[in-house]
Amino acid sequence: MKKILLSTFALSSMIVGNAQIPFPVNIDTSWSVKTVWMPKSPLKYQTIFVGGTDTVQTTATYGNPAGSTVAKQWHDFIGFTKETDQAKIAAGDLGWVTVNHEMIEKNDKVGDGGGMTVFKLRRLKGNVLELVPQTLIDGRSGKFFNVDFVNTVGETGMNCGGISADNGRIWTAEEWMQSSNASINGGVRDTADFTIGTTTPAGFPGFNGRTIKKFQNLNWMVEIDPKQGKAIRKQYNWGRGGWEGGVLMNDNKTVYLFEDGTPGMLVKFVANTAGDFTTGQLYVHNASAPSKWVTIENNLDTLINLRSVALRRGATMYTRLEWGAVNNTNGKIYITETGNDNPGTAFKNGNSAFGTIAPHLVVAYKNRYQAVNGTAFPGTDAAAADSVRNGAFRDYYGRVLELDPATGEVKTYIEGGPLHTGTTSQSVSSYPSIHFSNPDGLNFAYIGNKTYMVIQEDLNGRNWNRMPAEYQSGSQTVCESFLLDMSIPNPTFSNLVRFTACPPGAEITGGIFLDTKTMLINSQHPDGNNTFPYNNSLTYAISGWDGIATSIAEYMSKKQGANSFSAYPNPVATELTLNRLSDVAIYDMTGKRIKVLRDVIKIDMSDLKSGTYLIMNTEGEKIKVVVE
Amino acid sequence: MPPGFCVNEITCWLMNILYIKHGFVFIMMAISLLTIFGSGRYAEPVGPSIEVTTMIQNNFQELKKVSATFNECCRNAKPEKDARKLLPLYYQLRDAFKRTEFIWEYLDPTYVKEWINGAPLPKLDKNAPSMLIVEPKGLQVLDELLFSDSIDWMHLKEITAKLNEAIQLYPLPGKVNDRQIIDASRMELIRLFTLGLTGFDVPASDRSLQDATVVWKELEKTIILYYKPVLVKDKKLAESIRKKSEMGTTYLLKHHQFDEFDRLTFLRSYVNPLFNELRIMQELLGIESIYETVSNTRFTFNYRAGNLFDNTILDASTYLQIPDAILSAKLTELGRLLFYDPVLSINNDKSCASCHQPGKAFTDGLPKSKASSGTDETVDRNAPTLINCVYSERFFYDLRADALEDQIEHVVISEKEFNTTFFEITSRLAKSDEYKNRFETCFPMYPQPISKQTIAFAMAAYVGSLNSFNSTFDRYARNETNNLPEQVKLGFNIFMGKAACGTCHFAPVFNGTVPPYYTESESEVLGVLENPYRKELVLDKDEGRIKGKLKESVDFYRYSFKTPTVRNTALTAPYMHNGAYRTLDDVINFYNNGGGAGMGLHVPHQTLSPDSLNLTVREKSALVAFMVSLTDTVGLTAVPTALPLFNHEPKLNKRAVGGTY
Repeated sequence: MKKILLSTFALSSMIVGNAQIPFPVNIDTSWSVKTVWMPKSPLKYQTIFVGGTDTVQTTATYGNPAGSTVAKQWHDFIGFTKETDQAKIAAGDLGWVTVNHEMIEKNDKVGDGGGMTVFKLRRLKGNVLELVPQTLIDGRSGKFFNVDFVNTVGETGMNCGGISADNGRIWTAEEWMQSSNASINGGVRDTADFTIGTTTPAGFPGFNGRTIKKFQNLNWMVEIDPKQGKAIRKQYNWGRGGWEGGVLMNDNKTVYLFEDGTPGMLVKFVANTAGDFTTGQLYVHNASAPSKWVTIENNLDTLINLRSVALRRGATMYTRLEWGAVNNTNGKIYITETGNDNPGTAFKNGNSAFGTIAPHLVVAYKNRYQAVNGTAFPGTDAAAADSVRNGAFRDYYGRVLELDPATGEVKTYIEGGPLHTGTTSQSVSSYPSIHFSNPDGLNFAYIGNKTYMVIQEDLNGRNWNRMPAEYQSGSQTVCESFLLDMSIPNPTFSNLVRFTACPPGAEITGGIFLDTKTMLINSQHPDGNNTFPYNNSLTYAISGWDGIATSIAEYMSKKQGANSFSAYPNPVATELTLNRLSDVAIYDMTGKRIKVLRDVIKIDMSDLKSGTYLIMNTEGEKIKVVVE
Repeated sequence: MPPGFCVNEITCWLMNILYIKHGFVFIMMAISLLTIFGSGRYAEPVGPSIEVTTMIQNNFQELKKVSATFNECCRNAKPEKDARKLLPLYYQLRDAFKRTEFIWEYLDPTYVKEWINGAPLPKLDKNAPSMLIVEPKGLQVLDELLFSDSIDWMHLKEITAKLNEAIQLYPLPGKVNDRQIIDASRMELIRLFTLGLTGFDVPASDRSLQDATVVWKELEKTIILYYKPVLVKDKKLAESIRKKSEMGTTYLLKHHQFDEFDRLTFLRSYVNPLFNELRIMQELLGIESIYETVSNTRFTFNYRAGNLFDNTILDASTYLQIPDAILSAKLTELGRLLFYDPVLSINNDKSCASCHQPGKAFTDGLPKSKASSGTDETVDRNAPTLINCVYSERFFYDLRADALEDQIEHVVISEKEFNTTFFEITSRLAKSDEYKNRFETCFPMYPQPISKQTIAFAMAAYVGSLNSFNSTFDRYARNETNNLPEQVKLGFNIFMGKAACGTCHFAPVFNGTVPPYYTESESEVLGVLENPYRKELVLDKDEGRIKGKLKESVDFYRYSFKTPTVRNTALTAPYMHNGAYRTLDDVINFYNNGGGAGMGLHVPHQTLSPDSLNLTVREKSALVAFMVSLTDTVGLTAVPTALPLFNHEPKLNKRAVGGTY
């Protein structure tokens, strides 16, 4: 759809023969009106958990007594464990929520390193959520609880993504791959060697008594008990890596892990017994191997050095894998590959020389080549793969991948975009509605008979037109979250539907549906210039998703005819969508020009004060809009 | 979903619902009206943006061609004899890039910085999940390589190939509009003056003035396209713009000696006037401003300003984290009281003003400030001036704090400074009804009006208000006076030219915040001596930035320190991070000798050239005269006559304004 609009625009600008038509600074505002009534949106917003502000209950740590302190910041992954007690469900209890803190920080009460906070939610009337006060077995009472890592499995590195299994089990992923004690010392004071099995619950079967360097006790998947606010074990048998996310399949045996690195690995673990993940077989993905998977032995030294071992065995190299989720309607796994502006020699040097370039990257590189140069890549696929290995593929947008667990095949599902070429407009106005960069968080939502992919961005940078020039200065990166209707065949970024964006400077992450009514999502590390609480990392809820079907019908019955210049929705607290790509100016009621937007189909109205405004296009057609 | 409906349209309407911006959550809900009105063509077409777009695209095509040729020649070059042959092609490549610079830098500054024309120094990848060093690349590295005594051909070929790849990979820019063209041209004037003419991006060759000529000519070609539309509306303005752009080219062609170039005259006669008149032209033609185009964004650089030395050229509030709605004169006044109040320190004897004394431009005249009364112990570094310190991305000499608001906490908890906690401070302040009232007035929406955050906001508001751009030199630069001693003029020209001071102390603040957007702070490795007055040369042991942020503990930041402003240096002796240099003359001699490395010390990763600047005595004293002419503390030094009363703890009422030492 976007393509058609752009080419129509190019045509019309050729006919006009000159570029711009300025809008008068002042106009006469006497006009006649025609009124259209628009329905309400069913969605509601609620702040749930504010980092650096809400109080978490802590256990006795580092000789300090149990007590309370403010929660860590940098909310990332959100896990959800459903309530199963029917009486409590009837009382509105939804379940336990776990929030990762993607930072490492010295903290006498919460513990050094990363962190995690758990709390329980219930739903009151009118889709309002409420925190459920709890008393845990260890005696802590309150609403928010710090997950105790220090006294259970040892400190964690940054807690980024994780696994929120349908059966309620939660693993947190320790990203930020480190290779020396010195490099972790700024956030972890105790760098003495770590002996597995000396904490409670006791370590890991087979490896207890083994002593490893402190930094080697970071970068594992860690299972936690969301109901008791305690870690259970570091999953040493899944290997050590810069893990960002993972999924547990419905067989309750198979786990897939995604590594955030360039190169990043795709790893599979199959448990011997359903539900017991302490014994099983580990594999690493190799797209060129006949079975697609290479086995890894359960040896602690191998597992600690999984990355180099895997590469030497030909592991397929991805460009920063982030989160993944299973689409329960087709059983396939979808994984975000966030991309890397400058892979440089990362695919070439050291052990990477033995790794395999992912086939979908070769395809993506060839497509990029054609788009920029106007001619097809002149060499073979092997030559294109060499170019990728040599760092020629500036993969600055990233994509979402599809993994078919039956075959082990991985392919691109939806590419980031758009690519700018000489024929498009460098307009600032169309931002941010048409940009899809650096996907990170990913989950699925099932609403009515529809399946939606829920994707969150974490922009790696602002160049290559990922953000227009006018937004380049200061911490103004704006990350968004999108829905993608999975019934759309061969989707592109223009099929994405933006439903929320974070405060400037923040990364948006963790989006997860608790049920068909409510989702939770995180705003991570926003610019400090936002007002409280939006200057802190926070978890917020969007409720009312079950009502959207009715609203669509109501909206369609009242929708304005699309031939004349028109816009929807109204009111426009956020974004106004025009019925065609236009240059427009916005005037206030005194006839003073306050905004000029070019090549725009969506207009961000959120910074306008309440009141009535006039929107005029270059043909002089006007729309009257009320901002509430 | 019913058949025949555009999926996009419906879902867009439904989902574009929640947009949190600067603290507001917009949930579009209520019912309202939409009205449609008839048509009628409105305005006449003017701007030449299509022609400019074509010019830009041709320039990019040309750059791609020239770059491919240079890369080819470099690849086939025979080391022994071809070095000289490459130079004409290199100059062609530079010129071709400089023709694209104004628009490329505007449209995609981070790309140009990363791949095309960034500093020839290693840096850290800010977005990498772990510490990742980005090796320098691009034209500036090429410049160093081509002009080194013995050419490293392997490296040269690799850098050239990378640069060429980055140029070829870049898609042609699309259609630009009149506003973008004018904004980009005005920003280029600032870039040209603050960076280009100082030699900032030509580390080895002497192409600075040649570059400037190419850039100016390109601007002239662009600007002249607006001549006709302006002529219809304002003949005088049209002629003035045409003349100034033409005469600028002539001036640059006539004066091509880097050391002798009169930058001050060029600034006053061409750069500033054109910068101003282009803005007037923009308004006159009804071309929208950037403020009408972009939503919810605040710009540090003030596009409405008409002069580089305008005292509103940078918006100080954009460096602060304080929400717009909170920032007020009352908050600044509260911050001023806290600044002078020793109740913040553990023993009620020390205030911010103990080490940042208003009479000394908020320094204390000591090499390093006293840690506490009655001992010789000092803090680790020299107390820097607070005037104009707000214009900075990062704080402290080692850049460890991200904001002025974060900076105060380091002082509060430091054992050598306030040696206390915010918990202690907030509970003390709560014992004063006057403080309580003031906080409540400033933070009406806050559940806890006295908190770590609100104290930091108040202090930052005050320190952020300590700004001065009204020195003798500023008034001359703004054409408010035509009197300036010749020695000062010479000093400015040496500062911005021969002595290369301006390549790190960027105009107009003359600190390390990089033009033209002024949103990034730099630090430098200079090789400062422990004691310059001792015969034996010993490098100062303070390791600087490498010990600042955990994520920046990388070797090339060892001995690296933030570049402070040189404004008010007449009042801020002694100098450097360790306060070891007693006079400005001593500081200038240090630079003139090429810093630590220039004096023969081993200073790995020194970012200051070890070569002597060859400054004459006259030039050195001119530099001092220029710096002295940047003195202005008017209106900033008033000390409160009294501090708020502590009605719940009267013994505190005896405390002295500013503390006891």
